[in-house]
Amino acid sequence: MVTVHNAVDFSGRENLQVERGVKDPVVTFLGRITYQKGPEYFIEAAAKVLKRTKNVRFVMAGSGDMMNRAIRHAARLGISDRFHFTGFLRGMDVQKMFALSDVYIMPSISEPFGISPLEAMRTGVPSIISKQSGAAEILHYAFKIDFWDVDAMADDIHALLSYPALADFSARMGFDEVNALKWNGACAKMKKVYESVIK
Amino acid sequence: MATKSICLYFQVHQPTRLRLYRFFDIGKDSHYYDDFANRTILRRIAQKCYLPMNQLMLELIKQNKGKFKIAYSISGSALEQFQRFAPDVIESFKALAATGKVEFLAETYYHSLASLASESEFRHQVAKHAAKIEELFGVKPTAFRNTELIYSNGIGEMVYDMGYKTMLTEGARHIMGWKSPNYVYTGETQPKLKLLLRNYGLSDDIAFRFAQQPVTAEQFVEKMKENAQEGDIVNLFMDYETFGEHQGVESGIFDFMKALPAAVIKDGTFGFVTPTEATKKVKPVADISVEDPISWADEERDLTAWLGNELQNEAFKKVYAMTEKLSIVNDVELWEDFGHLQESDHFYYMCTKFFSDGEVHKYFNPYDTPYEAFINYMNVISDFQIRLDEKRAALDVKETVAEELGKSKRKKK
Repeated sequence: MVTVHNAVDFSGRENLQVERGVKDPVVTFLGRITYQKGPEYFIEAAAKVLKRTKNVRFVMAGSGDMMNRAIRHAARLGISDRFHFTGFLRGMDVQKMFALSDVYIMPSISEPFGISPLEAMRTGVPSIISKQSGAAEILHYAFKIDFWDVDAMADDIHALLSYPALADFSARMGFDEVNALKWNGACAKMKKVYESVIK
Repeated sequence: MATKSICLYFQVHQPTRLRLYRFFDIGKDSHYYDDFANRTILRRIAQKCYLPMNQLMLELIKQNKGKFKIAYSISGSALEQFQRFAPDVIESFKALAATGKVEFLAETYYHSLASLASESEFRHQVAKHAAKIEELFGVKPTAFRNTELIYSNGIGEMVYDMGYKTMLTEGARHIMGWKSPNYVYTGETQPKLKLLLRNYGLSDDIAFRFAQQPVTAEQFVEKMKENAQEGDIVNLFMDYETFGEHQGVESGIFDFMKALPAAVIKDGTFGFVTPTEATKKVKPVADISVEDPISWADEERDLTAWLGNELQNEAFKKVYAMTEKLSIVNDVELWEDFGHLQESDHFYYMCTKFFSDGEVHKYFNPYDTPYEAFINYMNVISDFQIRLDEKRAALDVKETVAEELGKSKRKKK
């Protein structure tokens, strides 16, 4: 069995320059707020980080059947003034959200591939993804954690926010890495697979 | 001569509704209010309720030559909106004040839940409201009603300590037991504070049930007589917006009010009194013990309409956690926004009691879901916190500079 991974076509898209409203670094979850995406683990990790440092904000962007539960969860943990929900984002708001982010996180419980960390890294945002996502197999410069390991998630978030050298490195390498993921490459690999089968 | 009393009090309040405030606005745009909605709604209710009702009340007071009296409690938030969007309403209240037959009650300026969170904030808002009433209507309030008639022994003590000897609250069944709301009571821990208890059966006949079960003024007088066979006073407390807004003009509610004073006076059992007059005239019969706060809302008559779920509790905690820092910074603009953000309505919008009194809640709610209300409110709070922190930091810098200057001066000496 051979895996051919997705690529992303970023052609014709420039990274947005947006004026920041909040001065604190922003850690973003962007996607459907459903069970498979692991939103609850993100909230737990956020609460752990906030125990150590107040100067950070968390954003859960998107909507889904777990959204209301997530809102209650954050409220119960008493972090709602630092944990924000944007609701479903349309069009340019997605780009804007990436541009405002300092760390991207995808704690998916199961994810065939997961294209959004690639978009984040393309925007120069260091990313933390779960080992259970397909993208984890090809992204060498993303931080990888088990989706249930809230402590590791909190550690990585904290490290990326506290050590600029780490964040810079991961952002720069991640940017190059995702830019190298071309559909041409994926197609060439696919072609090779077919050829080997025909032989 | 009339042996029993009727005390009619109307609540006038409009919330300062928030605009759609998104995450992207935090730290960038600190205007929080939906001016358009606030103006539109206020103008509508002014046309349907405040202006025609005030006109009617004025006529009735004049016609009945001193025998018809009423009381109003108008929140500071409502007064501000009248001044901005409907100054004619202020004028009509002034005309009512000039008759001398209208009592204006004290309450928290922002129609807030401050009495449950911060004594200093509570005192501040009550004083601010009293000053506003005196400025506009030339009278100093002498009776107090708390937001949504919220009362407990502790709140009663604070209120008395602020100089009010009369307070209005709900005749909640679970605290009344066998007692009738048709007497004057005193506070358990502050026996000098006299309490007037809302007769919710009769009040709700008008406020909630009138359109479905209309009554004539004569029938209502009979009902009151029956209800108050034992008792000295009937306290009819309700939202002023009952007239023309909650109960439409087509229900005949204006005709009912128009006929009520004459029917009461003709019957002769009851005489109209204002709250302060009532507690001077009617002797208290017993004290009432209220350990946990009561209110006039919903079936439960407790606080769960505002502080009943984790969203409301979190928002409430977060907003009042800023009190201390605010008093250090002491900035006029911040105080004002802080006040408006405390309006109890914001917490009411986050209520999840859909099944029991959800209908009432939905009517008053500009949001589709309590979650939206919560997110929007917390986004605003987040921006407010940033402003507060910035001002606080600036203050520190100023102090350090002043200190340094002081040091260098001393050195020079």
